[in-house]
Amino acid sequence: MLVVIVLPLHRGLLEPLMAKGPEPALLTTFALSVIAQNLYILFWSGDTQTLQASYATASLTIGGLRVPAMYVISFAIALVLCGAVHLMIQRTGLGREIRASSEDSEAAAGLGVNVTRVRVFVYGIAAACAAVGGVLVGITFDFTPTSGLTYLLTGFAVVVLGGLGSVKGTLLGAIMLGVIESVGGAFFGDGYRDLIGFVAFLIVLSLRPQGLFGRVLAQ
Amino acid sequence: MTRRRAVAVLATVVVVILATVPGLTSQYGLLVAFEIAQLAALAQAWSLMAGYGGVVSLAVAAFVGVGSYATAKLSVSAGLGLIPSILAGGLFAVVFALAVSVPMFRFRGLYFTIGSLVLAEALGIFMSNYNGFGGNQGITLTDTAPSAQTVYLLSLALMVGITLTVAWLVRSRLGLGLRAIRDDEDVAERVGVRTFRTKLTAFVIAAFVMGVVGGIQAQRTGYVEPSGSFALDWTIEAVNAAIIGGVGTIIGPLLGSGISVMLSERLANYPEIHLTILGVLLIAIIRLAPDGLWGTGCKLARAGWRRYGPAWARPAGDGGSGAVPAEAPAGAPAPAAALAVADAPAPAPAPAAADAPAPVATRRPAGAGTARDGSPLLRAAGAGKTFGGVRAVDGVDLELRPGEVLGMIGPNGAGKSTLIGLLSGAISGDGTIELFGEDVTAVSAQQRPRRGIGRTHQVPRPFGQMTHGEPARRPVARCQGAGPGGAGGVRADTRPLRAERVRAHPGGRSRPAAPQAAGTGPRARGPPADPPPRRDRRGPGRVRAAGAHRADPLAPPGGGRDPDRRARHRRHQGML
Repeated sequence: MLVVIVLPLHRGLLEPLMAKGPEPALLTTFALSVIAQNLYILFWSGDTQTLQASYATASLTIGGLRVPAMYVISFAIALVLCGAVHLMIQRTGLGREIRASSEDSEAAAGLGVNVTRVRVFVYGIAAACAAVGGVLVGITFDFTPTSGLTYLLTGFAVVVLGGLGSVKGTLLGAIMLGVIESVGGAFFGDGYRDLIGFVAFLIVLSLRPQGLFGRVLAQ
Repeated sequence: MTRRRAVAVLATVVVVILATVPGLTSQYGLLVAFEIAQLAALAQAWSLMAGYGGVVSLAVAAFVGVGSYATAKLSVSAGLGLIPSILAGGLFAVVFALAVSVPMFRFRGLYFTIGSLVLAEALGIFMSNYNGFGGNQGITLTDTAPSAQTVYLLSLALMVGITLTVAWLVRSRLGLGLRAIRDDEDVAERVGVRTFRTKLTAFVIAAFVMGVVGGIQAQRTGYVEPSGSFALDWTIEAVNAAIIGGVGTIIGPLLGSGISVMLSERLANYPEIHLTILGVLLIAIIRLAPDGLWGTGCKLARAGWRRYGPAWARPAGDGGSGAVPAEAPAGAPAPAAALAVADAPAPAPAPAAADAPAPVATRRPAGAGTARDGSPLLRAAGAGKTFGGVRAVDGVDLELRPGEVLGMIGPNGAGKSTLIGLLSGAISGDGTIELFGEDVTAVSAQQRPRRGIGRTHQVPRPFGQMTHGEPARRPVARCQGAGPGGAGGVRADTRPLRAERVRAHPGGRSRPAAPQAAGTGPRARGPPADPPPRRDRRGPGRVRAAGAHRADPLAPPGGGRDPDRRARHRRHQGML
């Protein structure tokens, strides 16, 4: 299902813009999300929705702490996903091609890597991961057609905290951001949760642009 | 010329407004006109940063919000009147811009874009949680709301003001610097653009306009609250309008705002369909007409004019190119210069230190300019640089006197480029560098060009969207400001350098130098005696300036794109 959507989008809209720098592609995806949001509102209204699942409201008791089962399930799925992506990038031929393309797409193409195909794969994998995340969010929390933006920014914050292009860093960054937000939320009040995450994002980005766990790339 | 353009712009602005608003007498007509003017001001301000400076900010809402809140707070607490409170909104937005600029400008490219979006969202969240400004309830203004007429005129004045400012700015040195940053921030820095200050100026101007828009909005609606004042819609609409009309054009953002507002009025009852159409429109424009409706329209019109217009508008020759085919002036009368910094074309032998990795060869061209007083223009003493464990350059001493050409020859990895880097300031290392007798070792790479030294890159890095002449105008314009008489001092000394130039070429390969450069005059606008090396696709108007790139010591033109010359270079390389 996803592939059916992703492939033509990438081929038709994003690939032709690749040569023009990052902004056109960024704005195009942004426009796509605006379109999607409004189509959802049009067809499913702007009301708050939840995904129903029998285990959505269940909870587990771990060492005396009651934890919603969904939190544990989500965390486990996230771990598995991160591990899978990490292995794919580090251990498989496709992963090697992805790393080569991201470092220098021209040189990679010169060595026989089909960069376009690699990009489609990467885009597809990213979309699939985001979709999994979306389903998990949908089961755990309420959502509206426009709730994507918060998660988008949170996603940016995680990636920047962890360091761009590092799967391990992303996982650690995500956990850290969660802890920072929760502790900060308990300290300053729950309304400040997201704010604290964003401020952490801005501070890290200006002081350590390569992320907390990223390596400094040699110029 | 400039004045006529300004008048033309102003006239078009008025026409656009009158054309898009059917009846200014009705309340509804006034409202629509206000919305167009408001959005146009925002789009124009955004376009100044993004279109000319390449600073793609998604923090429009943050500045609008700050302006709204400042206006509301000062109106309620300090009792400021309509205009003062609105201006205060703009000023607070400027203060905010200055405060965030230091961390924000550390981000480049997409990081800046995303960072600015996060900044705006963070500010909105802060306002809805912090109680000092009314929290989620916001602030309600106590003054009576100004009339629709007043609000419209204020917005119109703001729109015309920012439009004229942009129109004037882009022709100024600041505009040139902005465009240089957009095309290549590193090279811009190296040719002497004060990148931080230039970006900050545009940022601050844009912030002021956005703040004033926020202020007007606060006065108009009579209240401010976080979800409205900091709404992402401000950003989306401004960006949309600018892109649809054409970023980096003066009319584009105005046109885009007109279209955007009219579309939303037509579809006022179907907001979702409106936004969907806007999204589709945005994608289509990015894909099919990346210069926006106005920019692409202008291009097509220009192309059509050249093709079907009167004979004199058509380019000479059947190739359809305005430029003469490139023929590198290999046998040109000027000396073939390698490394160089000088005020007349030619440098002196510099006995390199015994163990300097790069042997230095020099040649004194016959009839080279007479030295003014024989003192060296450039002197390096003990220049060195270590990369990790590699001593790339070690103890190089050299002197360059007026009228000398200094060549530097060495195999791959000898440290030639590193030495050029040390001399130009792009690399900091050991030893001292003196320019016109002044110690410039501590002077940054972007300040050194202003003292009279230039460099080119081995692989040419021209600013993609400038004419060849434009980069030369930067330093030259500065020299002109130094006073006509050439009354001594470093600046006066440096002028001939900039006009006549000698090329620094790190590869140590000979490069044909500019024979007539001095003749093109300091403004680099004269007709080219030397044909530009590549076809200039911007039409005859710019080709005129194109040849003048040879007066430019700093940014090499697209010479490397000419296959013949490249091949010749390769042969040179092979010989080294």
